[in-house]
Amino acid sequence: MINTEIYKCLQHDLNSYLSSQELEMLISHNKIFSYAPGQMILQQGKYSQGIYLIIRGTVMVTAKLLGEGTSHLETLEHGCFLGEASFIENIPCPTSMIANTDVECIVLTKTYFEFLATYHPEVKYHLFTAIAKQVCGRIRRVHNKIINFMTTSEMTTRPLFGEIIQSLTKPSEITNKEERATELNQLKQFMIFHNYEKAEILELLNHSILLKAPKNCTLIHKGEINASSYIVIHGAVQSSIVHANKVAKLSVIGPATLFTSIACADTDSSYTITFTTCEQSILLKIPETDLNFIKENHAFIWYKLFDLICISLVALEKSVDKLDIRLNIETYNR
Amino acid sequence: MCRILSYLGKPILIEELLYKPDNSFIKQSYHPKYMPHLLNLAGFGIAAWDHLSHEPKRPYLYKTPQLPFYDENLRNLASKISPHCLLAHLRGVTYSDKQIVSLQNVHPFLFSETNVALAHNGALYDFDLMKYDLLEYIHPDYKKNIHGTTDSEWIYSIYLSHLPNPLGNYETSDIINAILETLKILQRVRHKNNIAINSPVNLFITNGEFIAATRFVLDYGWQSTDQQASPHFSYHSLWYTYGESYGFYDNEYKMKGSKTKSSIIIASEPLTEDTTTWIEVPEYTLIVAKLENGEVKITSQDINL
Repeated sequence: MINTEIYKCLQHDLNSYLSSQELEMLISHNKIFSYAPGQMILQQGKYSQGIYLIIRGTVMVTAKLLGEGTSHLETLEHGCFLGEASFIENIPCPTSMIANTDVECIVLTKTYFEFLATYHPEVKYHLFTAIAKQVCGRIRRVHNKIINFMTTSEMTTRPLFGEIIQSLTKPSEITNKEERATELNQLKQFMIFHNYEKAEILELLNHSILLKAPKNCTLIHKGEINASSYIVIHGAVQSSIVHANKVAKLSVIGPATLFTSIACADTDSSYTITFTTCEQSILLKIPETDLNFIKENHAFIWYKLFDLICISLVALEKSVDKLDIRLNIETYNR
Repeated sequence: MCRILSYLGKPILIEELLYKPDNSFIKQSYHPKYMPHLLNLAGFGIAAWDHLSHEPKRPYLYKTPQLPFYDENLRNLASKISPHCLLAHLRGVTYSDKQIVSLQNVHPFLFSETNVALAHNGALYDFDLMKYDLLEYIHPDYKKNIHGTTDSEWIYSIYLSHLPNPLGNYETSDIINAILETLKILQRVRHKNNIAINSPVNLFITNGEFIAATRFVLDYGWQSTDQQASPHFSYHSLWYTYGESYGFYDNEYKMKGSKTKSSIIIASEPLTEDTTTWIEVPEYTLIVAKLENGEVKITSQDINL
């Protein structure tokens, strides 16, 4: 018997992501936990055993910051997910979550996500869509904070010559049959495809372009709203925030990793993360039109692909948080 | 793969870093948290600077090719010495009879003409092919000091050759320029020899007054066919934590928070399982920490070669 009050709360928050049937399944398969004010829900430095969704009450997000005491970062309310970064990236929680009032959370466990992946991948995808939206919101907030810092910072600006060269440097498609076969064979070995059927990989490759990009080639530019995804086969790609002709670097994406434009989950044009090769690289590009085609016509491939998109967004979230901390500690690029 | 630990700040009993924390430096030799598939069993070395010692600008140096966790002498010394700066290194090499495990190959390297020491975490691919082309970039005074077989000692010689002088007070820009010049030389010589395979160059450099560290890989993401399982293919990690002083506070080992940050640890991996008060340095980055009026100042810069 579904608790109608909880159903109503969740319906209010997840209405645009889950159908009523999917919501009922979510409630019936997962437990609800209650927390008294002051009680720790998730502890910084510990691994989260699931993704928590606040049903009632407010939750304080705090963090022990490097060289500082414990700081209050923000307050979250019903409809917000907790512990998603720890759960998806399998890393310790970057922050602590403490009940501010009486709180109720529904805890979506690893077993539940495995069950969804096997029997109801569409529900997992819908949940990940909601999580990705929240992650993008956080990236946007921290991005804007960093932009404000960069505006007044004495960070060195990019030399004009380098900027022009970078804007002229373009990737080229690999058409040589032998070279293509070698690179694609390498790609098929990647762990990120461990749950793909052979036919699914072939279908994905049919909608992709194999690229060779020189060093310092920008793949996703500032302000570009293009929902493409890339997989690094060889070489490396640097994610950065570019503002006022200054560059603040986030992290490096190496082989066997998918990265994606923010536009894959959030079409807000007010912020972009740029991606530029930092070594000569071989990449598989899945253009926006092909991603849309896969989404419309090959749902199961799309669901698996979206798992990787979600992982890349969570990694990006971690990187912007780290940059935010570093900018307050280090004399960076001056 | 190796492990490196460096410290600058308030004098600290060495055992607080080498033995006490739950992921202590010595523990990292036989149970490293990162890259656990290769243990660091090919030697241990430490250079430590103490203001109160004889000739305080020169470090106390201890090196052994033996296993440090069986070393009673090291354990005893660690419970007596309180330097304000140290650089410790655990050497980790692939399990092969081609590797040379000897005292001459133990880091940190410290030539007699200088008080600048260097330790390296990484490996230059095909080093034997390129090493003699490096000679032209090494000052004659340092060539004669290379006794070991590691690529690290050659990198050290190039670095020293590009400092304004072997002994002195260096500006942060001198330290950074010498690092960048060293990396550019490695890149140039590799290019000349058609070497374009992933080679990590995480360097730790100190003279007791500053610590500089890099997180860098030449040709990252390009592995050779025989390198698929190599520990040097992935991007080696680099972390730091800073605060008033390092010790056992609130039931855990950590940097004590305070407005004045007078101590810093820069290391290959955090000294505790809980990494919440540590920050990971991004790839392609170098950082320099200096003490200015008792306070740690950190300068960081992207490495764009």
